[in-house]
Amino acid sequence: MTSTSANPAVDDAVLRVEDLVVELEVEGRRTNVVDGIDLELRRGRTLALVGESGCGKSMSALAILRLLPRPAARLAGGRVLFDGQDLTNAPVRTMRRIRGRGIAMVFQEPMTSLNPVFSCGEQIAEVRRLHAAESRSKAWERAVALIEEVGIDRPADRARQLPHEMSGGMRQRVMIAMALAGDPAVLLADEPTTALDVTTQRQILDLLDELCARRRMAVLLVTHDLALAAQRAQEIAVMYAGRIVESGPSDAVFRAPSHPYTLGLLACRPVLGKRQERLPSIPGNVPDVFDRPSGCRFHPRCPYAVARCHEEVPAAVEDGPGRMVACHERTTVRARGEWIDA
Amino acid sequence: MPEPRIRPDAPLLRVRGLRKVYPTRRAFGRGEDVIAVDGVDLDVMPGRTMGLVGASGSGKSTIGRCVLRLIEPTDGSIELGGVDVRALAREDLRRFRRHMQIVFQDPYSSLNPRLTIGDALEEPLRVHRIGDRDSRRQRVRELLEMVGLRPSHADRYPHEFSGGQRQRIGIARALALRPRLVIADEPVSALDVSVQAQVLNLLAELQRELGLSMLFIAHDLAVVEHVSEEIVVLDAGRVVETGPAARLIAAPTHEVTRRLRDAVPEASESP
Repeated sequence: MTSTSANPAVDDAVLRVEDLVVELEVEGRRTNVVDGIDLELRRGRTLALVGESGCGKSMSALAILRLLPRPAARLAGGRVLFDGQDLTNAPVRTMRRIRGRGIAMVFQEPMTSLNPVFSCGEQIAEVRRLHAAESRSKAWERAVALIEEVGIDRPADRARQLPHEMSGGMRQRVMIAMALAGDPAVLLADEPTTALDVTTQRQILDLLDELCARRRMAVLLVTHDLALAAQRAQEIAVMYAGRIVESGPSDAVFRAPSHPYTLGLLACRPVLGKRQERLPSIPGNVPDVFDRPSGCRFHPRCPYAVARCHEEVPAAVEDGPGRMVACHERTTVRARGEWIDA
Repeated sequence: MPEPRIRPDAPLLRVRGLRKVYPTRRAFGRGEDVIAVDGVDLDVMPGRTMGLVGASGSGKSTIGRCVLRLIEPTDGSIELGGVDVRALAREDLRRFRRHMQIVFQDPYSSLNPRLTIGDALEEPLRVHRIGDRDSRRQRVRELLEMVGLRPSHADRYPHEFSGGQRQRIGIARALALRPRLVIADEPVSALDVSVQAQVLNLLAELQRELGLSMLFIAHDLAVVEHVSEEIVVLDAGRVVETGPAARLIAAPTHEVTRRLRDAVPEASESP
């Protein structure tokens, strides 16, 4: 977030992303898949990065850890400040130390990130041995304690199980335990519950909330579900086609969105007990990264778009305490305060 | 070949005492049986949508697959339009399946990557020997338009489409044979919230226009409510609560229903 200077909690900032640019090159064509974004993560707080698939959310998270898929994607600009150090030009050895111990990541599909032939306990213990240089027995003990911390019953027995012997929810807990094994200050969670059913999803998110508070970790929650984001995060950044279009404290953004995209994301989720004949929807799709519209990239799908939006890129402007929006029509949008369905 | 008979006052799909048990074998002797579905009754009326909701492992997908006999039920009866589905011999069952079709969660894994969308949509028509080449091609164009795609999309391959578009193709394929019953198994849970709305609207529209009966399976109660007139809540293979959608959500009587209701993320309660 850009405008936090007035906030006393600013000292708690552990990770600051400034004007981050990720370039993608496919078959000789180039584009900025992440096109100059700012984020600020603070201790004990969750920031949700929200947007549809293909907006650049995961690329942003991967760029922070310098885990971008090579050679197609590369960091092309900006800074990632962690612990007073710019990670964008940090030596590989430093990065290796920071991954896991400083900043850890949890992915969407735990089955593909866990090694199928090692027990869950061994995989967690390995992290301890690498990052905390613990002995085999000490690391195993710690792994069992971590499995318990993420709310798994009979941790000593579970530690000996293979990933496929566990349910999806349990595997995601193991992934979280593994991420915690290096005692990170920052946790990047990329759609951590998308593959899970709603009840399990709720439990996993409760666990993340709890860990974030107890360990005073900063959490970046990447999700396409704005309702979920508002429920879980203190701050929200809404991303569209590589740019942040709106950000701020989640309850404020939620109560009165200033960007039409935010309104659209909110409107299209069915609300329990309020059945509508037709669900509002955002027409069309996220544009192809190589074929993005001119001006405001949301304009072809936007019911508020005027001529100016086709030509001129809207600048990010301050919009109330801690809030930022990039929309030419923000005053009209705020005044009307609802998504207009086509 | 038996044909289903549609009577407006009688259930199109009638399921009684459905059971599916998976025996598990250990290295020595027998393990415990896993009872996936444990005595389920369902009635889906013509032109209506019934929502089947429950957590993972509640048996909801197994029920859908048993109805189509994609997996064989252990016990119970299944009737579609008065026809005893379980009594159908192999060849008859294959032909009878044109009346009941399924839409899967992940259309990408159910589409052959080497077939164009046009060929994939034509395939069921060819298999069931419906029409000649020209009329089938015509039907493919119709189907594409029906689900909001362009006829020119027929020449493209699955990987050229987004998740939402692929699900539209999955729906078109399920409708190719003009089935009476469509089983939609988590059709939107792999999609972005914004695309979910488009696909849910499409399903609801088609259901009304074509007078389909639908069994809509999902874990998200808000999604189920949006398309269903009646909701059946499952837990551990059994029906724990059933009722009209509005009533069930306003005043759930069973603990499991309440839990599913409370798990839906609501915008109002921010931290």
